[in-house]
Amino acid sequence: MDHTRDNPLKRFSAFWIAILLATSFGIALIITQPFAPDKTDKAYEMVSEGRLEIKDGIDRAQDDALNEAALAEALSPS
Amino acid sequence: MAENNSTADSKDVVLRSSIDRSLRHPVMFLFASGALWLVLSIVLGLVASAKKHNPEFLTCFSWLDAGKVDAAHMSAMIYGWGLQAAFGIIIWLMARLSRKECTASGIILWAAHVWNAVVSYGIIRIMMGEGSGVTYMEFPSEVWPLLLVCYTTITIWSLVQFQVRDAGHVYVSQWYLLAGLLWFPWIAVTAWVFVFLMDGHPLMVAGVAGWFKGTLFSLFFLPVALGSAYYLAPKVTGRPVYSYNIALFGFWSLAVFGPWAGMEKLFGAPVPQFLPYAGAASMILILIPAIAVGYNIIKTVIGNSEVIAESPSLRFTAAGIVLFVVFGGLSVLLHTVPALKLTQFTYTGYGFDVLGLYGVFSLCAFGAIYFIVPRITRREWLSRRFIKWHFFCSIYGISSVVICAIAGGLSQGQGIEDLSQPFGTMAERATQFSWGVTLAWAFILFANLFFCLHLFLMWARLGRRSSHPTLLDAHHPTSPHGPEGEVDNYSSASA
Amino acid sequence: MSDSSSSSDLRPDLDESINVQDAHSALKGDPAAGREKAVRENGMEAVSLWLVLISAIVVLAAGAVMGQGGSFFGYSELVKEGYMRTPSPVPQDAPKVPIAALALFQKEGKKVYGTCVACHQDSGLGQTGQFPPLAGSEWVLGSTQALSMIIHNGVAGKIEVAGTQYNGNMSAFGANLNAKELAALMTYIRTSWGNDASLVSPSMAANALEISKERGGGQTSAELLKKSHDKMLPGDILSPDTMLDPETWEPILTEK
Repeated sequence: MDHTRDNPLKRFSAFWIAILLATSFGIALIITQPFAPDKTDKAYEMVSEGRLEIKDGIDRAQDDALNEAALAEALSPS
Repeated sequence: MAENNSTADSKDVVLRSSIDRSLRHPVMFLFASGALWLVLSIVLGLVASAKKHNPEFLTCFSWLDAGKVDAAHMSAMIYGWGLQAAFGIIIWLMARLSRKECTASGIILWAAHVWNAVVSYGIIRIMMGEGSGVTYMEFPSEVWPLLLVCYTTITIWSLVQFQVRDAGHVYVSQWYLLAGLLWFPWIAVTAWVFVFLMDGHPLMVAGVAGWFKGTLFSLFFLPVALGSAYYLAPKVTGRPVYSYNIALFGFWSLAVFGPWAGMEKLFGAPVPQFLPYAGAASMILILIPAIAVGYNIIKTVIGNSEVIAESPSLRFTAAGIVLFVVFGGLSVLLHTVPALKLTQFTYTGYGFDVLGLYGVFSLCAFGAIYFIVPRITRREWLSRRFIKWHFFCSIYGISSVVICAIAGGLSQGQGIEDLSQPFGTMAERATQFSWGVTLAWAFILFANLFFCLHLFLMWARLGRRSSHPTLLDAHHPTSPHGPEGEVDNYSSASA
Repeated sequence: MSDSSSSSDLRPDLDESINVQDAHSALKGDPAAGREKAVRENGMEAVSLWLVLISAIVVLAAGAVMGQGGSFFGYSELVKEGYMRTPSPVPQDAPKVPIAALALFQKEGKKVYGTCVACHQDSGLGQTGQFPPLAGSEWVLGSTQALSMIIHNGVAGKIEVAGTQYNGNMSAFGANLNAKELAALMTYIRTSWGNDASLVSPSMAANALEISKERGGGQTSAELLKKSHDKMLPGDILSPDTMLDPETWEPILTEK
């Protein structure tokens, strides 16, 4: 064995460099994520607010109108 | 056969044996569990294919619904068989080429067990209906970090071995293995982050998922297969690789063209238009490394046809490389714009993927396994017949799957082009072809059941105790390896 | 330890040996490793011109595909011009969609029933005491000839319908119907509101018009209907799920 190449220090550093390489893209993502431009479409978001309000209203009204007891009775085998 | 090559330096012999002994447990476990997953994935593939022409098949089991069993089939084949076979090959090959023993066998074995447990968990979750629905990433999202950690635990030792290798030039296979080892974390982390972790635009998620599907083959499975082929071809025949320059050319063309693959799935989607076209162009360009590697390896082994006829490992490897050239040619034909229009939502994609995964990668992996296992178990393969059946049924099966699926897909494509007919009429056009695919999977199952049995017998140390390898044709009156003897021939050992 | 007896020397291979010399001596005799050939230096053949030529052709093909993709890294181009195709517009003589007989006749019959709805009501229950019901009426469900006479000629006088006596006067509301309309109307009232009788085909209705012509006109009465017309109309029998051409009302021969 070539002792100057294969020593515990070399192995240790190789281990951690490999881990770094493998996670490098993940790290790059984490670093650059805050700087990414916000490409959300403001107009679309504003219009969808109204639509979602209506949808929430309907959902709430339907939930209130749902009569669980009657439903269970209707579904039970008679 | 050049005798002066086989009576190698005794130091080499001792080094080889000691390397093989040091990693026998993890490598053998990876191969054996991989083979078992292969059999399971083919059974699932059989069920999935049967459901295409007989939708009523096994509908009593809700965990075998068509979507679930399709997902489970591909996931088991990729993560259960493909990656474990790749790990075994990488560990052994990198250790041999760096001439370093494996010092972390226990950790690797432990990580391999965890990998198996995680994949099993993932497949069960898929069958319970909780798969993620992303092609080739069907496991529920919490599985991925575990898989990435296991991957690192298993393969980082190979990277360390490469770093501390003896000085000297880096052999071709090492380029491919190193590249594959570093590419996989890149594509896997990217895919995991963008598909499951970040809350991104759904189209971007679809794009990244498509890209992962393409690059998983071109940047991981392909380099491992080619690395193994570049090692076995000169090793078994005793001749040098035909051309170093072509090998360089082939490697770098794969490195440049490979990463673009995968987005051609998204034709017609409202993604930036150059992306699917780049993917299609990259898949056309894959013919270049295919011909380069094919030419190189065929020229290395040609002229020595007896060796291909006799050696199981070389036969499988050569078949894998030939199928890689076929894959490249088919890729050119299927990724021109008119062909893409015809085949986009059809059976063709499945046939093409299976050609890559089974035809190219798995055949080269079988070649490597037939070479490696006798060395780490110190036994020879038991039955020539099992190996022959494995080979011929695999070749027949994979050709049938590919031809039927691609032809079926083209027929479906013609149905799609008839804009007045409903989708159902078009989908039914492939019914006859899916019968062919089911039959072909049955042949492949037959082949791999024997392979699995053979491998498990070897794992149980029940192989032939012989100093002669198991060759496929045994017509020699006298063997070039000298008189046959017991494998543990201690009478020749010195005091 | 070099004992001569091989049986005591047969160490299980998977054990590590402490004695390196002995371990190495065992390994030196390892046949598989011994017969392996060393991997040699690679050959130095040049990249052949054919390879370069073929690669150039492949790159051209890939470039052609790339060229159709718009500008490279053009993130704003989402839709390729001309990618979407529309099916050609439906020509005037587009093939007609066949329709089941029962559905067709009910649709057409309901239109004709518009004349009758004032008295016999939408529900077919009529007006108790004044206009007899059609739902459950034996005159509707029974012989088709009688029914056709009622529709075509009208009926007056005492008549018992579904257990109730009526004494009214129905004029010949259906006098101007042609065979198709008559068949549709009769089928409609025979198969609606819980009625489940056989269909009346246009040929049966044509025969009914003949019979009515022969009869010479004039309102019928219950006794006359029971005496002379208590039979089923002759003609082609129509089953409810025969597929018909929506324009000619002829049965379509299907490939099945």
